[in-house]
Amino acid sequence: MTTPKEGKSVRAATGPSPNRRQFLGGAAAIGGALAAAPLGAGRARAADRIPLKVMSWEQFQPGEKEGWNALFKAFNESQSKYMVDWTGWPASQYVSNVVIQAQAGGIDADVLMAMPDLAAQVIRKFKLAVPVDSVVEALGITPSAGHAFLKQDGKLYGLSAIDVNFALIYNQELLDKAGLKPATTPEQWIEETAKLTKRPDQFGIALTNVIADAGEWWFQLQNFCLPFDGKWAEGKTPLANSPEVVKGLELWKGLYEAGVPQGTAQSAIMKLAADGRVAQAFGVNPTVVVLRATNPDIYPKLRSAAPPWASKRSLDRIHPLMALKGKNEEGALEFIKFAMTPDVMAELMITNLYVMPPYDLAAKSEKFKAFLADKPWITGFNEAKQVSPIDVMGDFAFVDDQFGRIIMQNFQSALRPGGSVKAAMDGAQKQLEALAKRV
Amino acid sequence: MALAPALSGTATEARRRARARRGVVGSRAFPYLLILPMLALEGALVIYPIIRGALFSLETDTGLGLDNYRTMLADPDFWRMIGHTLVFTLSVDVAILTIGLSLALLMNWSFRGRGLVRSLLTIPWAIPEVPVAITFVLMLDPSFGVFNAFLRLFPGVTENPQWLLDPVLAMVVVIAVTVWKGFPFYSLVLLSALQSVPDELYEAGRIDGAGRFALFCHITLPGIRDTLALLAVLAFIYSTQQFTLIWLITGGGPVDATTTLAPAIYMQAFRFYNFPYAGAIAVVGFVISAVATLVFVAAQRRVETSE
Repeated sequence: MTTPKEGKSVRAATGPSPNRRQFLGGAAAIGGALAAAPLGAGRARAADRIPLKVMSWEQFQPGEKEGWNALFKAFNESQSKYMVDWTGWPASQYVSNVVIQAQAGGIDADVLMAMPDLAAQVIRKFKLAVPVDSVVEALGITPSAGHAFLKQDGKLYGLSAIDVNFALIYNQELLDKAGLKPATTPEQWIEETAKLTKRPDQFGIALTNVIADAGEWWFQLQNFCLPFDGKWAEGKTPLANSPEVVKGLELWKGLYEAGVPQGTAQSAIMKLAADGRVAQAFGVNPTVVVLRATNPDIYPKLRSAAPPWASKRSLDRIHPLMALKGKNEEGALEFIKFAMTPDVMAELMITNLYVMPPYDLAAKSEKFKAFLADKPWITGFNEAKQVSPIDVMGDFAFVDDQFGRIIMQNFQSALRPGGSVKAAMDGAQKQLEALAKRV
Repeated sequence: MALAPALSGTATEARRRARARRGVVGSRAFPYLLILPMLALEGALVIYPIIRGALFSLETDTGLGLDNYRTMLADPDFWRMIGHTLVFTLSVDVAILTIGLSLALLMNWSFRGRGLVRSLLTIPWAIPEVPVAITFVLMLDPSFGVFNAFLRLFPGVTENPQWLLDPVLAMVVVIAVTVWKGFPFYSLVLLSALQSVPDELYEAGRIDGAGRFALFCHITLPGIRDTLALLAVLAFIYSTQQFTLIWLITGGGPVDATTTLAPAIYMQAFRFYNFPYAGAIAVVGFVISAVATLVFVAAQRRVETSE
């Protein structure tokens, strides 16, 4: 029992009791402090970590950046030593900016994502890459055959982050309506394309065909040395006017005349395809992702078939993740190892609709196996036989853009009425021979 | 007589004292100090890059030399590109000044809604080049473009012109779009020049019995001659440097029909990474612009002297 006196003294000792306003103010301050505490701690943790820069164009890619952002987040949460973040430019400016940095002496990043020709330059010309064999060994994986161009002196310098290959994509509904099956020979391909064309309402095939879309056009046209087993170059010798290449480009011209939206920009062609007004496209697997993003209704109608020529060979463009020389080599390899882990890679591929894994992922991830089983449109991509652009470009792989520009500029004159592919390629050959002196 | 030196000495002393009072502000070096930051900026951002670019053009595999210039002068592609540049530049120059002047003369008349029309005319100038190029590409699409949709309404037009696939039509298109994009600026500047010609001169001309054409030739044109000459130089530089519209509309094609100086430099430098060769082409571009400017200035001086 406490006496009133005692009670008074206790109250005096503890000070005056807070009024309602003071109580609420104090509670708010405590609440704020509690809420801010994890942020402060987080900031402190972030500051303690070693920053890792991943140079890429993927952060600008709609439909893909979300998958990569999730992978970055998972990596940052999986360990406390490194903090990974993006650097880079959109795809159209990417190669030139990276090459300029490399020529100036170094690339300002720890991990580089590269297009095939850029990867080859970084490994062989600039010698800025670090082998990733330790990652392959630690994970017990066998990289796909397309990785051959990333090898030098028995060492592997990159692992595929994105692998795109070409196949014949088609709108099954339109082919069914016309009573056609996907072509298997070049002649049949031209014939079917003509049958599927009812200008301007429907076009037989989507092919990029204006030089304002030069990058996209060359990306596609580069495949057309393959239908008759040709190559664009062998070492420093260009083969632009070889019979195999000329026949391949005549096939392209045949398709162009039969059913291409001529003179239409690439973006408009893609919109036509998404609207169901184009029956076929010769494209890469992400084309399906873009079409789905533009018009989800088109997605269930899309299928793919192997390239319609005997060898079924098409270009396979591996875009590897590469660890760069520098003070964070260890961290770069750590990040690549994390990205290549079966569960992580499977998650990325499923989110981004990537269907060509860097290794036999289906054998290591049930989730990915189930994902593939649910994709009827990947058949053609899997049936296509992979060829690296490096294998068909010879030493011109380092001047891929300039080579393509010369081919396209000359080829355009063959597309005019009465134009000859052979004469156009004779002109290109001369220019390429002059270019060879500078390679 | 002894008073004069004394007075002169006093004046000098007074000036010295006044200068001393004003400190640095009064010194002869002060104007130079004021322009120093601007000179430094120009030096770092304009003069140095020009010199560096010129030196770049001399770099070869074996050291410094004129190899890039020899290669360039022997290259038929280079001469074709110079031809395209001249066609493009002169066409844009003539068209932009003719249209600009014609509209300025119309705007100089007083009519109801003149303010609104003037505002509307500035719209092309206000729109950034990228959306302009993209919009024109879509409008010129052979199959779906609005240009061909209208053209097909005309009797006798049975086929869609392939605007950007035909070398001649593609050049016409890039010239037309460049003129469309640029004419409001020239029109507005010429309008302000027209308004500065005194009305009394026209009144005197009319009293002397001059007709509209005579008034234009003898009063209007001499009155705006300086402005016109300056605009001709600006239009020349504007069209020589044009890159965005050409690159986005035609990419320099078809074949290389619309590859002018700026796209050629860009391609060599940033697509083919051939910086020294790009430097050599850039030097030629610089020389062309400088010569054109000097020719215009000299012509203008000759006219002034003859008067």
